[in-house]
Amino acid sequence: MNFEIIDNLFQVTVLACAVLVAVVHLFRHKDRRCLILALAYACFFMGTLYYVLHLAITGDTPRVFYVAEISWIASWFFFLSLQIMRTEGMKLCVLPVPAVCAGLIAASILIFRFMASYLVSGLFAVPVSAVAYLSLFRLQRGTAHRRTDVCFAVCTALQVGLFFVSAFMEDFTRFNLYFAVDIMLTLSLVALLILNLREVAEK
Amino acid sequence: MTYIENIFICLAIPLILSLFFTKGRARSFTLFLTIGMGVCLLGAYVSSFYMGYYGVDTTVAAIEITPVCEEVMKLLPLLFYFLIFEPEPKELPSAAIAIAVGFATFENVCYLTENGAENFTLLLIRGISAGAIHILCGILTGFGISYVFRHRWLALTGTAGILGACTGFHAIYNLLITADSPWNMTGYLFPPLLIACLFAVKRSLPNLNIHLK
Repeated sequence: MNFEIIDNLFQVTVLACAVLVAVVHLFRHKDRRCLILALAYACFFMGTLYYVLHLAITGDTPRVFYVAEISWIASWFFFLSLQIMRTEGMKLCVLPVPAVCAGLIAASILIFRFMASYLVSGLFAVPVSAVAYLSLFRLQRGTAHRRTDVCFAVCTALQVGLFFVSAFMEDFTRFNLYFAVDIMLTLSLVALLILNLREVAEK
Repeated sequence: MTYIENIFICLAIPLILSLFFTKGRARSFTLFLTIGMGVCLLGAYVSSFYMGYYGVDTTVAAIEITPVCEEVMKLLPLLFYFLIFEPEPKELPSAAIAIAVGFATFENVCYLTENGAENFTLLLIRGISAGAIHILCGILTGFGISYVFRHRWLALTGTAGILGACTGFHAIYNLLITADSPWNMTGYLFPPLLIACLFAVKRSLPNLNIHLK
């Protein structure tokens, strides 16, 4: 079986479970952050599901509007919403290290055009670099729940790394570095869920 | 060839006339219903433009182009209403649902004109599933913008996220229904099931005592 499908099915299953867990915690804790987490994982899930269904039904990847990418971008917008909520009450300013890192992420996404077009790449660069900035900003300011911010930063690094690695890979039918990074990204997203839910429970 | 402008005029004029003689919620529901129909017409133009631009057939357009165009077009009047008229949070979901209902109704009428009304079973299934998918997207948009992401930066990032979520959801439905059996049956079944689940959750919400912090 094509390893791309195996990897995507693994991601779909894990993300579906993540959505369910977030919904259960929403009913238990009645916290808006659980709802945003559920939406973020649902979007990631739908993006991957659309991609794998497209591959299974038509035998090819989407070629025109790259709907899967729109769902993944939406997921990052929800993660950004979550980081904005976590940063509420803090006085935001420009810190050099987070700003440089976020700038590098945004520039690499735009220069190497990770997505279908420059417009979509730009839309992707905004939430990913903003999440990276807010995570590093919080880490540098020494706020509570540092592990969650580290996990957010790792997720952004893996997401950007995934696109870099994909540029060097040609054969997606067998296990390679691309799938290793993708699986790590999926597992990091799970860790992010656990850390966020722990934060909600502590609150 | 389907003359969708003529169909729109035929459907919209009685609704527009009724606006002069109704008040309150009935009037705003009719207005947003008509707007939903108009948005469906404009969405068809935009989708047709991109279809020609990329030189793709109707199936590829339904899977990859239409969901994006339709969801963007449905969001625009709602955002206009939200940003210009600044309604109460409780008013936005009903506006979003009315736009979605108008959209689904006009889409169904165009489908009937193009494909005929002989097959009752198919039309029943299609009516339920297409209606459910648009209403689900409307509920997500309306409740999301009005209750979850209402404040400052959250409104911006949340709206972008919701638009993407609706697009992905709609695209999966379109992808499934354009495929052969059993995929299309799955596609026709999952929106009614989801809307039934949502209705059950809505009914039990007072018992669950959910108030988002």
